[in-house]
Amino acid sequence: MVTPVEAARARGRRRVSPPLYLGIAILAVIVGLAVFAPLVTPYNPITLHPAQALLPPSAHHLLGTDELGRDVWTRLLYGARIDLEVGFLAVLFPFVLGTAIGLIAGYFGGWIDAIVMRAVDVVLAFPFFVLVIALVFILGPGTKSIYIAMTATDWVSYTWIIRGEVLGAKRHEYILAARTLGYPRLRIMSRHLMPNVITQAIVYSMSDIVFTILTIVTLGYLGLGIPPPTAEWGSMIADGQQFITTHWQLVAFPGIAVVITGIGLSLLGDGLADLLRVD
Amino acid sequence: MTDSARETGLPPALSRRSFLRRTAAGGFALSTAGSLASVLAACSGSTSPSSSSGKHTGGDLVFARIADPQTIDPSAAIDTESIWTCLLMYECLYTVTSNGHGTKPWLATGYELSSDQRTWTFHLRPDINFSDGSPLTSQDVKFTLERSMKGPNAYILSAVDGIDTPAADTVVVHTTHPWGPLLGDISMYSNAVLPNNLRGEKDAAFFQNPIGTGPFTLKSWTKGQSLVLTKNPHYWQPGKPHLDTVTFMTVPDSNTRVLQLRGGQADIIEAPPFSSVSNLQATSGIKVDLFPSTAVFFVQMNEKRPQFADMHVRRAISYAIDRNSIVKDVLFGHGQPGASIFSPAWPFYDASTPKLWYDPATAKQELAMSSYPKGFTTTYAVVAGDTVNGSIAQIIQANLKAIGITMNIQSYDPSTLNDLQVKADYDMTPAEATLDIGDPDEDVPAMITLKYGGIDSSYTWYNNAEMLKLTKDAELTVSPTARNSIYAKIQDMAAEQCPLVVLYYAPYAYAQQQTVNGFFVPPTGNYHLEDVTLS
Repeated sequence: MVTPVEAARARGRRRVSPPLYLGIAILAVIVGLAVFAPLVTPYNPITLHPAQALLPPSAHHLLGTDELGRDVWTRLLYGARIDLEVGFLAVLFPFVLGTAIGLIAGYFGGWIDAIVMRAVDVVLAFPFFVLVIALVFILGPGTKSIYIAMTATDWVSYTWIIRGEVLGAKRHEYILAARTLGYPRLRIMSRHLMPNVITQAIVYSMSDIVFTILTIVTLGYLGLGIPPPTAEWGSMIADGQQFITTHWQLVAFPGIAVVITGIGLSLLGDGLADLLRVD
Repeated sequence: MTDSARETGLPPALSRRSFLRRTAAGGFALSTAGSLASVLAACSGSTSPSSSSGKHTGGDLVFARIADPQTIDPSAAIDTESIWTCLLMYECLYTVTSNGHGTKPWLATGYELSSDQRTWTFHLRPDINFSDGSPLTSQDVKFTLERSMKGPNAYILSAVDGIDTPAADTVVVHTTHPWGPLLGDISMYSNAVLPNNLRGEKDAAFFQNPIGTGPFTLKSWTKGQSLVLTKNPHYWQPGKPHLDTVTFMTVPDSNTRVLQLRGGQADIIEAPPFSSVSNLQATSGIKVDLFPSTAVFFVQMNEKRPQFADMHVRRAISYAIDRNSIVKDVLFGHGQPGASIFSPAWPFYDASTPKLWYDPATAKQELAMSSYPKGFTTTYAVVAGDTVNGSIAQIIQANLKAIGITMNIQSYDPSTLNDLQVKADYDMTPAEATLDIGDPDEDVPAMITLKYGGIDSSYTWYNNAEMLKLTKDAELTVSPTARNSIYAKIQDMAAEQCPLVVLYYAPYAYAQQQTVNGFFVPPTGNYHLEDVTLS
């Protein structure tokens, strides 16, 4: 049984592991390049230069140009802004919503819990990608649709995790003590329960961002993501696909960017799990 | 106007086929449904259908196409794969000439037109048998035309008043008015001859094992994968077909088709990407053909939006668009900028149609004359995943920005975009028109006149009484020279008023092994594989 005192003591023994540093380093480079994109590259990611279409990689254009004469390296950097921002926000909304629902379901139990868990079952019964694609199809492409679709489908993961944690935590003495003292339920849930059950969800959210970025790239590839001419890795891959036999770099580099970002976030998630794990 | 159209017996609707192809705006460079299907197939880890590997021994031609036919019933066909497959199994009395500008006798030897120009007497070739060995008679033709008049392409025969069969080799077609397009209408794929009463079978049973006069008959059809045709032993053209079988593979992904051609798994592939054409041309053992086509690519603008009801706005848009850039960057030079709503492969094409082409200064002047001198914000709708129209949209977006029009690009799935067009709930969208017959009347009424059919001037709701009158005149006139001058006026007026902003004309691209001989595609897009040999 872990009391707050023990938990506080345990905090001192948390481990900082190499994957954490590596993950942070990779993401710092990517985020840095994305944020300082205008300083890193002289080109505009949107302006068309038909005369310079499909140039091979060179000193002027590190990764060459696409079919409309835009610098691929530039579009990759500006694409990172979109994919990372949308990836982060599209996890944040279900994270908050799912955590709140999970807290309520776990804390109150009974018929509230039964209703919530049946709703979770219903969402989980559908294959995730099919559900997201169907929702975005209905809502129309764009960031708003991505946020709505991700929130509507992904909250169940957080509810599932948080509810399980709450079921265990709510029987602990510090919660019983808080109830005996007559604290309002909202305060017990937010101040006493949540800090003790949130770590699992945070660790999960790291791998969830990877998954969400992959989802955004997939939607972009299907033409359901961010509308053109905005640079985005998925649509860059989709647009480059027709040139795969003649200009491989149009598809390969956005693909590599997705992989590196995924590795960075996965390492960060691993590191965080080590860091937050209670011995 | 619906009523007057009914009175004069004018076509009630554009073929559903053209309607569908408008929505599948990817054209032949990328079939959207196909690409989505291939993406989903890739996601689920399945692979493209296995084709008969290695060498094409004997006479089997392996032909990789974008999509599977929807049907092999010619009267019900609306998609190109169905139409082009049907025309290998069933044939019409007349067919389109190889330059696309007219018709030539096929199952018929000729016709006589009565002095009131309302009775057409066709004489059938005497030597024609169906694939089951039974002879073709006028009863079969009468049955076919009457059946076609109940199908989705019925509009093409709307001028037909009755069909008589005075002799086994004579068919008489009566029309309500003198009707210029009749020979073209007779050559429409939906009028390809089927045996009388389908030999007493129900549709479903008949088309399991169909009978026609064409060079090939159906051997097997694995839906979504392949369709195999086999030689018709009773074919009427002596010595043809040369091939024993034709295997159509369904390969939606263009890169896969190219790889199959390079790997020798396919003899002919449909629509290699224009970006790969020069590369393929340089590959030994492979040849690429770009056949002139009737395909016209244009932008339609919803005139129920006040901006686009303003002719100066439409003219400004036409002057603003850099068609050379589209042809060079998106088609890799394999097309030509367009001005007329007719492609050069259409009969009655007028090369002197005014060209409202790239000229930003004039575009700004036109916009200044409009009710929107400072420009406006609008949305260009494309089909999700259609990279060709996506790239074109971005060029148009940059062009319009230069004259002060802010254009957002929005992608939709094909059926949603189609609904938006039907409901007039869109601003601008790309579209395509093609001809299946050697006569412009298949498309013109629905393209640029209102209430002439289900699609109201290509969903633009452009409404011009003079245009409607000219269109009707062109139908009610039989003399080709007189029709030529009417169609020239129609093209001029359409170019000046820009109900549709014509972008470009693009050819039908096919890549083949050097071992394939005699493969030819007329501008209507169908192919006579009875002439093809393998060496």
